[in-house]
Amino acid sequence: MGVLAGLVSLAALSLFYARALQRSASFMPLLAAASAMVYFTLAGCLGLLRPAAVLWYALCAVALLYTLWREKGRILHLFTPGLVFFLVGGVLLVGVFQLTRPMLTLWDEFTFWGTAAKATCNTHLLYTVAPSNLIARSYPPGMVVFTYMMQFFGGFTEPGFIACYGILMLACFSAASALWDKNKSAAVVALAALCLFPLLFETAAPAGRMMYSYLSTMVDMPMAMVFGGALCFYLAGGEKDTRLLAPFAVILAALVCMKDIGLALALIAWFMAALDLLFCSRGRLVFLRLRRGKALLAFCGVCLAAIVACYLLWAVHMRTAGLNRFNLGSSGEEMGQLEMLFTGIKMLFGVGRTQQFSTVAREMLYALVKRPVFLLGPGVVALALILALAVAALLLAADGSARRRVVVFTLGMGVCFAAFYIFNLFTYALIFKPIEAESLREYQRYIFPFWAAWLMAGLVLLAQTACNEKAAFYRRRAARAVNMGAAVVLIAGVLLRFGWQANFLRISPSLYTQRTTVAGVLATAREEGLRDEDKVYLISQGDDATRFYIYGFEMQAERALMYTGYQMDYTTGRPVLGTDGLPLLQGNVQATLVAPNANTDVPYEIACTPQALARYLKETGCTHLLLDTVDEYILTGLVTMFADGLVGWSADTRGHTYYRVTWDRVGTCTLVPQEGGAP
Amino acid sequence: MSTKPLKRGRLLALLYVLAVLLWLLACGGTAVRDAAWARSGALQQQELSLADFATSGIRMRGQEGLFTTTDPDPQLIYTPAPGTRVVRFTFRGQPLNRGIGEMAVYYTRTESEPYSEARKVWAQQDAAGNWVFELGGRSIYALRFDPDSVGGILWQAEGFTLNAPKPLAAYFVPSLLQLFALLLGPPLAWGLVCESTAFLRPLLVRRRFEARWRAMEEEQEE
Repeated sequence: MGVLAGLVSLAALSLFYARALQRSASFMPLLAAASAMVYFTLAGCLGLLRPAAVLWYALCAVALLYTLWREKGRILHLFTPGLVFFLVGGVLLVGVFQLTRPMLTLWDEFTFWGTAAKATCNTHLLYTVAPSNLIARSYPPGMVVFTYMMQFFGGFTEPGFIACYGILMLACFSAASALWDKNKSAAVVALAALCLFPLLFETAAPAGRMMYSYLSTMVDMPMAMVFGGALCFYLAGGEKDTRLLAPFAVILAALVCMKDIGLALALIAWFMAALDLLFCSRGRLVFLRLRRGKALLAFCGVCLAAIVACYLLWAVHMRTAGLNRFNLGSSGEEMGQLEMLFTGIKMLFGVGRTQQFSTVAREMLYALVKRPVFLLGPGVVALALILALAVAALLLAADGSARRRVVVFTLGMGVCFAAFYIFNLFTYALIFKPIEAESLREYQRYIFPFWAAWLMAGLVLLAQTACNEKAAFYRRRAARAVNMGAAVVLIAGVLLRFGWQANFLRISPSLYTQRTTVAGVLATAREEGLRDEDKVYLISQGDDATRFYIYGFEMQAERALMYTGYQMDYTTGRPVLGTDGLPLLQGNVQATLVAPNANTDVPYEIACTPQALARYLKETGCTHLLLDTVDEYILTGLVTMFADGLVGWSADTRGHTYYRVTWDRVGTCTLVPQEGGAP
Repeated sequence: MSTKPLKRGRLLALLYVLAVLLWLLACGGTAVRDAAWARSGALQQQELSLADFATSGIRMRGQEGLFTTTDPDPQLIYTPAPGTRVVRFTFRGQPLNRGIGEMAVYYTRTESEPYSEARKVWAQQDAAGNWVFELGGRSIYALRFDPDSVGGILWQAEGFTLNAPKPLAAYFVPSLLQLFALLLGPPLAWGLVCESTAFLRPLLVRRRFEARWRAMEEEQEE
């Protein structure tokens, strides 16, 4: 429930911002969340998370009191439908998740998002330096520090953590609905369509899979919504002055903090704003007391500086923490981003083009018409919808400048989409392993953020006509009708193809059995004497490393890397023995100590001996061993190492769980059952 | 002058009342329907054992009710007597070794119909830990139970029940989805009604609507 304190702090800051910036409070939850992200990223890099959080809550309280004091009875006038929606929706999400107690279940949540957030919350240190079982430490920290701020009171809980992601998205929807502030019924319809956006841009349900929207704690969906929210903030924010453009820079900075690709999205949003200012709003532009051309230059400079500063801040932090930023997750090749851009552009023009590049380029073109990016179909359908909205906005626009804005925005976004798409082509062609690249692995997840944000901005562009006082009455009416019609289409589209069977309100408990069995084993191990200062080696036969990472998330004690029998050959999809026969599990390598993988029928030699395992235990300094699952190999090959002879263990039954690693004088390793509380 | 439009606040309250009434009606209707089917004999409670199922990807173990899944798509298929309606399918049993991934039931309505993701029902658990699938009273041809989606799971099955009885009160306990719909549906309907009347009224009234429209808008903004 500590999340509610975070929610209140965001709302308090929103009221303060609304008054200070003289704009609708609907915009402000997004700005408050973005401020939090940038502020806590800075604090985290400086190692000052805890004092920064205390200061944050104190400042928010002061901001609220100040606003109350200045506004007195008029404070209620600051509340808009968007802000009320943000508050009510946030409380509802927190309440629902308290009731249903959702758990993390996705691979990436254990390899990074959940584990990083838990480590940060528990230690008040950024996950890059906090002691934890996290292996990948180089992802940007925006979401993690945001959830740290939200859960500062009450600490890390999975339901609270999951709710934070939803709350951030609600803030974006609130911003996108700001134009309807004066018309409650239209605001309700628009907000309903907006809060279905995450479900709209998830394609799992038609394939019979669970819909993870509002449950997933991967950054892609919130990042897409913040990107869309940033565009809406700029477009709908009214007069282009310092009070609009400086906060806009803060939102872009937050985008950079969220994910590596956030840098590209922030640059796109920056470019779109600059384009709009240049062609449509130059005459009325005021920035830092400058006017027109000078103001435009100043805005471009300040915004770019904010983006670059955030990027550099993290790069410098990476260097001081001794981490490699360019080790991109599942990459086959290690390549810097600049180098990748340079090579990619060369190949695009046909210089030294590789087979992989040509194949991926062709697949990416087909994907625009073939691969679904949202519930209503592939990219071309999204484009058709967006263009239809743009044409309506163009036909109904009040005057020449409004028409120009629609044209400039649509053309600009088209160009940016091409650039974004080509950038993704480069990552597939140059960074990914061939087998993953040619199947365009996770295509939807990488591409949908742009479509989602464009669609959101398209709705706002049309809403601008509907709310433009200067437009003729019938134009406003028609624009509003088209806008509401589009919202109804989106709502109907989601409801018709919704996965009623498995979604954030109806989670099948079967998906949690992996978590509950791990929790059960850990509970036994704790009874038998597992302590936080132990260094634990895990044996979990038949595991594709899922359980290995779940243990890493659950345990406070340090977990040693698994000692592995094989690696996956990505070109054939078959397991192969490492060159020395015994590679160690590193990061993304999928492996078991030995043996039969239930999902492949490839027989291969088993190569781990008791001596080799003993040597590894010595090298890594493991003090204990945790037995999760054994198989025939452990029961016959390694049983000699166990003092109790693995009594009670079989492939189906469990015996003692927690063993102490002991060494005799000649260096023979024996694993002795640990009894509760013994040293 | 024309009749005064229904106050917007009252309209919202009305929609909430309507939603609750509709929901109660639906719950009561389901209860009555099930009772009628039970009386006519179309809905029969049946106890099943492992032997009643055709299996694939499953290896029976020596002991009673013990089985292991041998691939990631294990299937237990039951073909009931023609015309059998299934409201609920219950599996009493637990995995003994590790996480099971997805547990689901697929059903077909005719012999020629293939199994499809569109006819998939995910498992829920009742208070006693039994796995329950709500099939909505369809007349089915075959029912395919997939206990896990990983393979290598050791299962202890105690039995299966078709159409386990449900106490009357349970029909009126809303699911979380229904609660959400009851809570958020009326405001959405309210928004849609207000928006469409705002748009349609001038077309229907056919007077000098622009001036009146403005007046109405001002009234709204107040």
